Amino acid sequence: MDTQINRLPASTGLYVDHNESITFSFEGKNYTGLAGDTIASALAANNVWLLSRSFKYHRPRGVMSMAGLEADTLVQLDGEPNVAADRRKITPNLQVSGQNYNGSLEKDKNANMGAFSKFMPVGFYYKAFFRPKGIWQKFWEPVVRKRAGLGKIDFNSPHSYFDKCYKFCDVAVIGSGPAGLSAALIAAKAGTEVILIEQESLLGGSLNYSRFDAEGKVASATRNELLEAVVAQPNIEVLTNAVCNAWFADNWLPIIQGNRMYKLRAKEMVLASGKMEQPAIFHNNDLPGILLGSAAQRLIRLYAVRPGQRAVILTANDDGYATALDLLENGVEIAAIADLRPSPIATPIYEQINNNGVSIFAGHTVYAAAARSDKNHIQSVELREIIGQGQCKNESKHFDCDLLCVSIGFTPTYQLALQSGGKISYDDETARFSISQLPKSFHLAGAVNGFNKLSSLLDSGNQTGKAVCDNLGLDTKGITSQQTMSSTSNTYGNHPWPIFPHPKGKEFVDLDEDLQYADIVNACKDGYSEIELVKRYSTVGMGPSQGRHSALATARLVANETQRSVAEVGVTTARPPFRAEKLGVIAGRSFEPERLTAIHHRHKELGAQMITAGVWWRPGYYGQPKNRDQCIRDENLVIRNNVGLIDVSTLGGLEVRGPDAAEFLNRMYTFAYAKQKIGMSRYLLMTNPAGTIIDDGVACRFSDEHFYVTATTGGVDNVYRTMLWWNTQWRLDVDITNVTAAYAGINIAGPNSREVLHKVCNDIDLSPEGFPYLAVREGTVAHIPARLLRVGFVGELGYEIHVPASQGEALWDALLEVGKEHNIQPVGIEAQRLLRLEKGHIIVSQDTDAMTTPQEVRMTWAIAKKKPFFVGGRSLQLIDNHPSDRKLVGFIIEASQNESPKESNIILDGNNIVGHITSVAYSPSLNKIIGLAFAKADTEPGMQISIKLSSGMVIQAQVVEMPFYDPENKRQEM
Amino acid sequence: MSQTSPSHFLIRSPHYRTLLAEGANFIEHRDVVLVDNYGNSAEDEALQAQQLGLVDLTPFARSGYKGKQAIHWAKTQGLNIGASNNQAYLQSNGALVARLSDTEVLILNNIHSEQNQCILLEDEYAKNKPAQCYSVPRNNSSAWFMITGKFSTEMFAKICGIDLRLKSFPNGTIAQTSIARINGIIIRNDMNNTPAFYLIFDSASTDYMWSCLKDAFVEFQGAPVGDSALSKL
Amino acid sequence: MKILNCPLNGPRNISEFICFGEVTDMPNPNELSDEQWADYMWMSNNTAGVVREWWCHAATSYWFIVERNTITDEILKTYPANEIFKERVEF
Repeated sequence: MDTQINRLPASTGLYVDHNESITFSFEGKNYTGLAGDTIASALAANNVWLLSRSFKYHRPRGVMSMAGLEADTLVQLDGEPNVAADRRKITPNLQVSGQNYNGSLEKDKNANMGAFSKFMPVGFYYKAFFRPKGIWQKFWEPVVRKRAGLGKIDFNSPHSYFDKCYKFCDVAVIGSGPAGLSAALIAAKAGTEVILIEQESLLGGSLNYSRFDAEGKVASATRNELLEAVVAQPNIEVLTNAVCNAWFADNWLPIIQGNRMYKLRAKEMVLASGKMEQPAIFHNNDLPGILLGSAAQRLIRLYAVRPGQRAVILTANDDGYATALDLLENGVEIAAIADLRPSPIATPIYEQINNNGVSIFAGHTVYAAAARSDKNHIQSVELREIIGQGQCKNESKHFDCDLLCVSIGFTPTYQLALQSGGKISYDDETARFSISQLPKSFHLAGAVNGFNKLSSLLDSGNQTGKAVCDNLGLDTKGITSQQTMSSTSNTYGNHPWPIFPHPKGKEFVDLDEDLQYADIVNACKDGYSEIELVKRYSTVGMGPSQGRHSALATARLVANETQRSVAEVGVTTARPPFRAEKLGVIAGRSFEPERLTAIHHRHKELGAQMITAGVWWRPGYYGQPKNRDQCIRDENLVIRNNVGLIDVSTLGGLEVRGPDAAEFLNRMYTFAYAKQKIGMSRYLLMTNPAGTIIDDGVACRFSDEHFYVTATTGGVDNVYRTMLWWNTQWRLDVDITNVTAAYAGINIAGPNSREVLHKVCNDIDLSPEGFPYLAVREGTVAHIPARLLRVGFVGELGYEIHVPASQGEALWDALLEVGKEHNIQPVGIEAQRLLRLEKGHIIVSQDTDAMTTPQEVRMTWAIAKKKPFFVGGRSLQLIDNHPSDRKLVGFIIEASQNESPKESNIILDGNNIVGHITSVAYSPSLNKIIGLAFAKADTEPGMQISIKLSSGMVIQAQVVEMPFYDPENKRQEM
Repeated sequence: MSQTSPSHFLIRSPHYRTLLAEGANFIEHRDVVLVDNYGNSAEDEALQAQQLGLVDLTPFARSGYKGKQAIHWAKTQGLNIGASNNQAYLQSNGALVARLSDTEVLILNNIHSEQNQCILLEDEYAKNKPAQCYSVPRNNSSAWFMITGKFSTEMFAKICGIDLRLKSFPNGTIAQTSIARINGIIIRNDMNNTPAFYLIFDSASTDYMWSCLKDAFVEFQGAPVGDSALSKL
Repeated sequence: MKILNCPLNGPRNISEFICFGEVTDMPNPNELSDEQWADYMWMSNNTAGVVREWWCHAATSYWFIVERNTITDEILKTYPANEIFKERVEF
């Protein structure tokens, strides 16, 4: 059984395949459409027009533009909300339902909301819901959310593959109507690489659905000619079903096609985006069955759907008559034509309609539309004669109809042009917007620039193509273009005031937000005159259609109410995106770099729990998470009592080489390096120009002109860049190379470390005299070339062994192997952090913040005062005269506390916050909780500090001398 | 037959476990261990490489020199280096010298050459200790991949914002840029008629880069290919 | 996204770069009063008009100079830093 009662014969319908039927369901009922149908066109073919309920008043709504411009076509699919029914193609067994209703779409229990519209004046959210305090979150928000809003998100919907892709071209042409096609052809013939972007599945734009002549032939003939020429141009790349969703600086264009976003960089940009037909404003102008004229034409020519049985036309231009001709030719009866103009222009199209005997009412408007008894479709219209701006005579004429086509004017599809910096202006003569002040490489072509006749659209495209070539320095003299019949420019017909208020209201300015004529007028009366403020107060233009159908009318209303010109009022900023876009498209593939040390996989094989340290992964501890604390204690004691291995590869490494190497370090760091002995290391503390600590490390001097400098894991990239920046200015004879990734580092530490190391290192004298504390050596370990550093970070005898990264895993394996008889153990960074805390060593950026000076952390010993200059030195001199009111102190608490303090718990002095804990942990060696905290500057060992715990309880801690462990530093110097 | 495994060698590719998981068969080649194939014939993998292939060249020698006199010194060692930065210069022994700036060069040994240009230079450098010329440990600081085949530029467009289309990016061109948010160097170095790009980047990010490339490869049916395929290109 | 023309690497997306603020001539810190030094440290010129700025191409850690109009965001000129910084600086 063929139920598609509105389906036209196979001679029409560019998008649909009359030989392939597709069954889908809407609101639980099965329908048949054709392959190529959108949800809306297939339903229209089955005479189903009601698609949704409106946002606020739950009014019945249907398709208006057939171009995906309005919110009323948004429907719910399985797992996908807010799908535009007039853009999404049907697929077999697709399940579609309406949105935003209570009960059924046809009988919405909330449909009486409209009766309360008097009690919901403009701005009522702001006026009604704010008292008493907290009532919005507790009461109103849940109520409003249930009644308003759009589709439902399915959190279980499957993941899809979204990605992004860079693309490049000479010329990007947005829109493939007559102007876009002809511009693309000129540019391509001149030798440029063109990308032609079309949001529909077929090229052609208005040539596909519009009528440019009385005979109805010129559009398809022109289309065929242009498309053949495009196909013949190998340097035109065509992207269909692709939307250019924004314009960013230097023609950087996000083009969304399916699940992919192309990031297209174009040297020149042609916007041929056409125009958007605008609705008229009258009582019940939102009823299903009221279509823009262009929507009726799209239904007929693109989808082979007859838009109704009996139509009334409301028009103010030739397009309305062209629509009337299309309707007549496809079996639709025309009940009447109301023309807002007092005397319509007698064009050939007009004459043909007139000759057909259709009743034309010049100087008339549709004053109101009436719904049939179920309220879900238009049944009749009331025509009245216009006597002034928005004013009519009281007498009316009624016409029954199931279709009203509205063609009263257009706005250019201006969004991308305005994003590029273009300014909108308004011509009172033609009652239309125009765009100017565009960037040099941004061009308009066709209807977006105000042209309407086919000949002028083609001319405009040709001119634009030539302008593009001129900018690119290409010759266009010999290029032939589509012949046009006339070069006289013309503009589309806009009526200046298609707005007719009604005593009963419901003359909608913004259908998305259910805003009526009075809402905009009252917003102005409430004192809002700037368009951006009117928008925020009334919500006009805030819905999914983003003012595409309301901006012009709003500008006119606000201009009228505030006695200004429409140009002065303007439109609200047209921010990206142009169309709704999925978060998946924005996310694309997520590139989250992660760096692994050469020993990373060994750690995992040894059961390490890996944790992140900036972009690096590091072993936190080795063992099961349930045994975390025990693992960390055991690892701590392995280093204190035996021997352990810590992977320190993430430590930054820089080679500083050249005659000025020592001078350079003198300037970059606070300490003095000119007289540092070869074969020794020295602590490094870096401050920024303001005197704040930003990094630390050690400088290992391997020769007069060669220092190997370490930096913190997170700081090294910035340290490296900062060093280069300074030396770009100083021009010292020194080279700085970042070799962080080139070296794997293993700290072998603990009282037995020398013994273990000795088994695999024979070419270095490891005796305490031959290789003392803070010395550095070069040699081989397990046959691997190595740099060895005797450092004391964890406070035990130990050696940092730095080897080429490619041999890091081999070194680790060798040390574990020879350490077996000592029961050597791998040790993670949790234990390492505890070990250094026991020694009172700070970690820059954990125990320091963006204000910390060396004075505050008692490291003035690391400042060489006699140097003529170092970065931060002058500021530190200044700070010396303004002592800080805080300093870092060490504290202990007996371990029997019920609640342990945590990092960031605050330090109180009475009721004043004076600091916070920067590091805290249980020390198994001391059997106490130990920590570092900022406290008042006069805090001394022996005093108490007050710590406010996370629970709010305040406890006392004892301030002690540091380091907590081995205060005489004997163990690291063994 | 005993399997050659990277873990038997001191010098290992940082992501050798990933290569094993891809089905790599390793061979020893002049003291380094490299992937011979991924279980297919050399001819089949060469066909793959012509479409879209990913080759791990990390085991092969490379070295770098920087400093005011670095390029001058490299020239005195007989290397042919032109005046343009971000351009690679082919040497008579097949090595490729990438001029990264006025003060830095990167030398990539010809992977099948008898002569190891990098070791020759390293020996001379150790002997001469030239002033204002400093070695860069590229063997360890940088990983080295090669992406081959006609889909390589389209694949790169998913992870890198540089226009690498063959006509915009001629053979020998260098781009120092961000690839999948990692800093790296791309050098076009075609294998006869097969478009090919070297990718040199942070060695600590080798596993990360491999996974990004594999993800970008899916769309074009790209796959890793072994060394044995390269001589068939 | 804007394009910035790097003197070493050519035109690139501006996301490849780091801006480090206006180029200022650092006075000799040893010849300034505390007040003068604090003024140099903390008081930014925030010029409306053409400024000289430090930019760094991240992938190559290459520092250079950009002349940019802060009103229009137009980039007028980019050049290597050694066109300004020609001499070794001593303290």
